[in-house]
Amino acid sequence: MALIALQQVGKTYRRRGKGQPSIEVLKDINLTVRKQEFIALMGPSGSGKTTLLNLIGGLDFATSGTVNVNEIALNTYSGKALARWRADTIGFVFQFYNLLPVLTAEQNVALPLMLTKLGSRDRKQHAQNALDVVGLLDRAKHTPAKLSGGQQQRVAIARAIVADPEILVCDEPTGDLDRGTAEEILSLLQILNRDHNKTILMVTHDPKAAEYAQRVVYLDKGSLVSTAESTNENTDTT
Amino acid sequence: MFKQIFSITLMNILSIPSRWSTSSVIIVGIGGVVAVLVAIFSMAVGLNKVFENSVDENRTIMVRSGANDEMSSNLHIDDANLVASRTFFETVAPELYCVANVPKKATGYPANIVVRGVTDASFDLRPELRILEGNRFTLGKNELIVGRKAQQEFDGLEIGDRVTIREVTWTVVGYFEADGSAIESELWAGLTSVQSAFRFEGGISVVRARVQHGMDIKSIRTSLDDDPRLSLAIQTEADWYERQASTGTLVIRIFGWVITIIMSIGAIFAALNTMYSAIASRKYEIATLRAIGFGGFPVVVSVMVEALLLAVLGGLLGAGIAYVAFNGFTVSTLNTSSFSQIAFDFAVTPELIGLGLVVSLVLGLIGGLFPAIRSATLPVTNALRGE
Amino acid sequence: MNIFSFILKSLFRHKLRVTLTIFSLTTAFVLFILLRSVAVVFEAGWSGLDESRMQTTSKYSMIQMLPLSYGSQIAATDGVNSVTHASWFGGSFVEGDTNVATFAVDPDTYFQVYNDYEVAPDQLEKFQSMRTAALAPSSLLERYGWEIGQQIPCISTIFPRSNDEPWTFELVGTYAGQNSNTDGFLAFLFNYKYLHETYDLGSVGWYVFSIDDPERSTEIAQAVDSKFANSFDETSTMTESEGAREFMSQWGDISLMVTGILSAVFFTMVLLTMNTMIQSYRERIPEFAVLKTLGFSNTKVACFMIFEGLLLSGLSALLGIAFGVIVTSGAQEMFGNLVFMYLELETIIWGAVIATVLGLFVGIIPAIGANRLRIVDALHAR
Repeated sequence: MALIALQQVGKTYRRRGKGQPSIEVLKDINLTVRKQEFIALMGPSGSGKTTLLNLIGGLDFATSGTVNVNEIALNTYSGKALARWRADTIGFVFQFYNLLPVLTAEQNVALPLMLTKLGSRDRKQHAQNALDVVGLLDRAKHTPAKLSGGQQQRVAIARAIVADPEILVCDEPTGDLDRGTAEEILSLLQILNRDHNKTILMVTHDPKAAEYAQRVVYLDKGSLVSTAESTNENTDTT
Repeated sequence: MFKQIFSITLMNILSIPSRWSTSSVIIVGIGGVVAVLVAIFSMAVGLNKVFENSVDENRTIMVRSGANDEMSSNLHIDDANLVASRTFFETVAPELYCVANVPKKATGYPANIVVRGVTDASFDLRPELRILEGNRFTLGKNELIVGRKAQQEFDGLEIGDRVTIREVTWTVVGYFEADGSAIESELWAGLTSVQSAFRFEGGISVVRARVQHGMDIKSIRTSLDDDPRLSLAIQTEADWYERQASTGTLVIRIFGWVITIIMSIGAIFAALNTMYSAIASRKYEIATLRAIGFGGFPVVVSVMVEALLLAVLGGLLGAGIAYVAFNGFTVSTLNTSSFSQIAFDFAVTPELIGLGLVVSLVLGLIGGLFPAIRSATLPVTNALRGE
Repeated sequence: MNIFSFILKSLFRHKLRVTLTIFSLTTAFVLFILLRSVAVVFEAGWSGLDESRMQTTSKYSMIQMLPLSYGSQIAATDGVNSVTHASWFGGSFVEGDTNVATFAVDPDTYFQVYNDYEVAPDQLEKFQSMRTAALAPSSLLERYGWEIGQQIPCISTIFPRSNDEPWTFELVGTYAGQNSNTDGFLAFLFNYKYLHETYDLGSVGWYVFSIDDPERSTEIAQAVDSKFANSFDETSTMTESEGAREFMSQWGDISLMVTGILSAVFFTMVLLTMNTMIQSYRERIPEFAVLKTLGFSNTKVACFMIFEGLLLSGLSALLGIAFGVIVTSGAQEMFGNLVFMYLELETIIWGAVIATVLGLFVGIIPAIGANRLRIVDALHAR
């Protein structure tokens, strides 16, 4: 069964000012993502990867076509309901980690739980569990400034999974990391996919990173050009 | 060295417009302080002016000994005649100082106003008194003339209006001005008319007189004290008014300083904020300059110059606002010695604007100093790496 | 971590900047407490004035005296309880220090009319029986270092004695009002008989009387004044609070001036605080985008900004009101002989109200910004 289904999705940005031509970022995208799939989105800069990710993550609305997640079209949600839906369904991981500098690792991880009915003790417990999963429990009290890039990205991943969402949306999660650290992060994502049943969509520039996915989707100039099963032996499906 | 200072400072100043929003903090903060300071002090200066204006050094006032003000002094017309017989006086003016009740325009409540009973000598003594409109009262008639400020502050004192004071009806026949001095808050009428209306036949409050040029007030005082028929204290008008003005202006000045100091503390914090963010936004630039060999001192100077420049802009803004909003603004208050109203104009003098600018410079100096020191002691390598 | 500590942490992201801003806003609240404490005196809004007490003064001038014979006529008016009188003496105890009220009063009736004043019975008895006796509020004893039983010399500008000799009173005791805060407004009282006999005086400064029914005050005032209409000494009768308001209004609109100064102060400080808030908001635009991405709604994110504003202003108000109370008491000590001040609870409550409004105000622009922020634009705004 399809978890995510995109049908003839287009996205056009209107430029400010009259007479300016509008920009078509995505056109006629059809894509189906099954539960527990790990998909890499690739393509040159400006091909619309991040825009596509934003549409699936419920950060932006498509101008045409429909984005269905769990058979519900996202454009039927109001802004507030969509925020609620994101909190429940999606975990986000960004290229620059985007942790709040004033909070400790644990507090950063616990942040999404402030939207739940959990008490403060439960929130703390959940945050520690998530940090444990990413292997950073011993750094719980550190602020982001005291953590390395790879560690910060692990905290960000812990934050993404703490509310137990079905889908992880990762935008260049290794774009700012060196090769070794990047591999650690990718392995972590793979474990989350395999052992914690997360469906993962990951935008990346890096063919090596894409090898960790089960399927690679290529975009160019806003159109889907091809989709291929990953060849890497790491990605044996369960 | 000077070349360094000059070039860095110039670079700084040219970059102010690009940091306009943080720079405006220091201007607004110091401008606010200076505006309030100048406004309050212009009140004290204005009140002082009422008592200082065009006082002729040869003018003296004689009150009953022991009296601190015209209200509590009571003499008899005979005293004035005795005084007039002395050769060292030129013009001798007996005056009766009474208080009446007239509604104030601002509050609608009746407030006290001075009614001064005078003879022609009082006009001779005060050449600064000019009839603006109408004419002088006719002696023996119940007519009065109204000071310019009294007319502004009180109701029903237009020319031709009838005013009832103590069962006697008076007609307003003219307005006068007197260089903004205290008598502009008064009503003037003929001495004998006032004496009979207030049932003080023969009574006067004070004797004013001009002493002959070159006469020593001390010897006059001794001479008067030696006369057993007189119980008078003589002093120059300048001394007399200085004492009258002191309490009111002292209170305003004390409050002016208290408010200024407290507000200044606030403005210093604001100035520190501005200058810290100014150097934070120029951290790389400063570090780069240091790295390529500029000294720490030129950087300190450049930050200080920027702070002082902004502070002076704020000071000018504040003083300007105070000048436009308050200079010449008339208010009236209670003269505690007679419980009557005295009106005065706020006076924003060049000295006050100078004071405002000095305060703004002091605030700018304090606000700029710590950030300047920090900018110079910033470790170059850390700043370059953006730590 | 709860929402409050999250907001606290976000607010103090730039510790130095926020601390400096809080301190500068604090000064506005210090000035508010100090200046309002002066203004309430001129608004005559302080407590301790009884609506059931009325005063009769000369219609023409507060310092014009009234015949002694008026007392019995006022007492005979319907609705009037007990009547007493007092006269402004203009006394000073220290050369030049004229800012203390000295009244010659009728010792037998004064405390009947001012029945809320407290005075020890034995001291009152002495006050009534001795010609030269005087009572003073304890604040005056402190100010001049007097002790009960002491002879006190006093110079009067209105009633001087021959050869500038001082008057001498014997301090027989103290009295106090209901509210110790108003102690500074109480006068030095001495026996009118002393003045009457020395000066052969047939008049008094003003009359004060109590009435049964405060509702009837207007009617009684008219009844009293009509008795003396068309005489040389016409009267003006009103309740004590009206009288105080009228007298204080003669100083000029101090209340308006204070409002003007405070408006300028708050205007300046609000601009400065808003600047800090907007600056801090701008720097955090990507963070707000992250919060929204994580599922915080537009309203919630806007509320964070509003609460930050409230917290900033609330902390400043807390500090400012505390310092303001200290500064005001200090000023009362130092300049009490020049200016009266009265710190009332209402002033503090108003301080809190202003803090709330100000907090909402400085947070509103960043809050609107945070509310409208589009995730997709803001996420990459770094």
